[in-house]
Amino acid sequence: MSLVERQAEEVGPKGTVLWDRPTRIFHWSLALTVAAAWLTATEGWVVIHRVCGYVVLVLVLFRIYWGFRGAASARFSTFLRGPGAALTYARAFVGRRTQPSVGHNPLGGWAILAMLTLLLLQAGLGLFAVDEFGVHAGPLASRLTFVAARRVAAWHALAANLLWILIGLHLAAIVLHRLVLAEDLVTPMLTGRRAGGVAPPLEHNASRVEVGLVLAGLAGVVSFLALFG
Amino acid sequence: MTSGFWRRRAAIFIALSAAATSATAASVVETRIAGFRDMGSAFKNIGDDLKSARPNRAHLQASAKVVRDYGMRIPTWFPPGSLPPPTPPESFIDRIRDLLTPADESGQAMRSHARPVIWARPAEFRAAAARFQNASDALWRDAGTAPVSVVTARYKATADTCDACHRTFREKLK
Repeated sequence: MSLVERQAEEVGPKGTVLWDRPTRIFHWSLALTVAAAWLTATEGWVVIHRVCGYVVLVLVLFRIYWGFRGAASARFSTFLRGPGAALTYARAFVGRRTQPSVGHNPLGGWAILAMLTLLLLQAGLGLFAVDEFGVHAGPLASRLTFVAARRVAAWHALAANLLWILIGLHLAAIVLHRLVLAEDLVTPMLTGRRAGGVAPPLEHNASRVEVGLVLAGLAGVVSFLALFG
Repeated sequence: MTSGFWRRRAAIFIALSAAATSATAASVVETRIAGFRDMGSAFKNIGDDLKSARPNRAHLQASAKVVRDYGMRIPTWFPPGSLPPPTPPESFIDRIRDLLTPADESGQAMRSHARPVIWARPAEFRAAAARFQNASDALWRDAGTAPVSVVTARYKATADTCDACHRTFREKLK
């Protein structure tokens, strides 16, 4: 897509672009994969659960890369603000004085960092965990004793609970923005756009080849772990 | 010698044997937890060995023997009265502390997860144990010499009997 076409797409009559396409694809893939991982965590769906873990690993690592190469709203340098900014935003939110953010608001930015960190930890723990029979295990569990790998499995279960707390907060924030500020956060994550607005167009310099190569590289590393760990 | 003497003696005897019974129950619970843990270790070793293209057969067979020998003892690990008392619900803080203590000390892994149904339907429990014993015995007999594909099939068949028994007779882990 040429720059002109891209700009035409991004500040067209359909409103302000909030999220670039890779960020949106990442978001919904992650949501689906985490849901699938949760559904397959028990009761004999271990093979699918393991694959979900690998996909989460690839997605989160990609998102970290995209946090440096993506469009402004996807970059850590844009959305990670100090605790002061987060507090100010929280106060303004309670007083209904906030303006709709382009990208993550200062509180949301920290939530994103927390979720990414916990997901990375969770997927990493899964690599070393083993079930109660010593049968189904992550690809790196053979490096641990049964007792140690069972301990990792207990941490894996704890991290899942912490993850649900964060996901609950994430969903609650969406509902609150809808109810308190009448701000729709879901549609922009689907279409990329919000109606109206004058925000500058979103640009990122990563070519499709670069994104493809990074994804392929990450998938390769994770597949290697999965097969030969 | 009055009847009071004998009554006291009887009381002491009853108290001592009650203490002995509960001590036995406590130690049998510890024994079976340790036994199942060692079985899990050995079973994991078998799985780890089978991942390699040319597994060390002696090692494989030694692990299979551990599993098989412990399996033979399962029926003795659940005498009447060895149902652990219900544990009080743990607070979130307790669970965190539990997760941070070293793996082989006390903790969730050291609590018995036996279900009362073991004692309510003993014949069914014995039959489930027997299925595991047969499967693990066959695994051990084939572990040293049979083709790896056969050993793997025996390993999976044994794992299925673990899973089937736990579904009915062990509390689901959280």
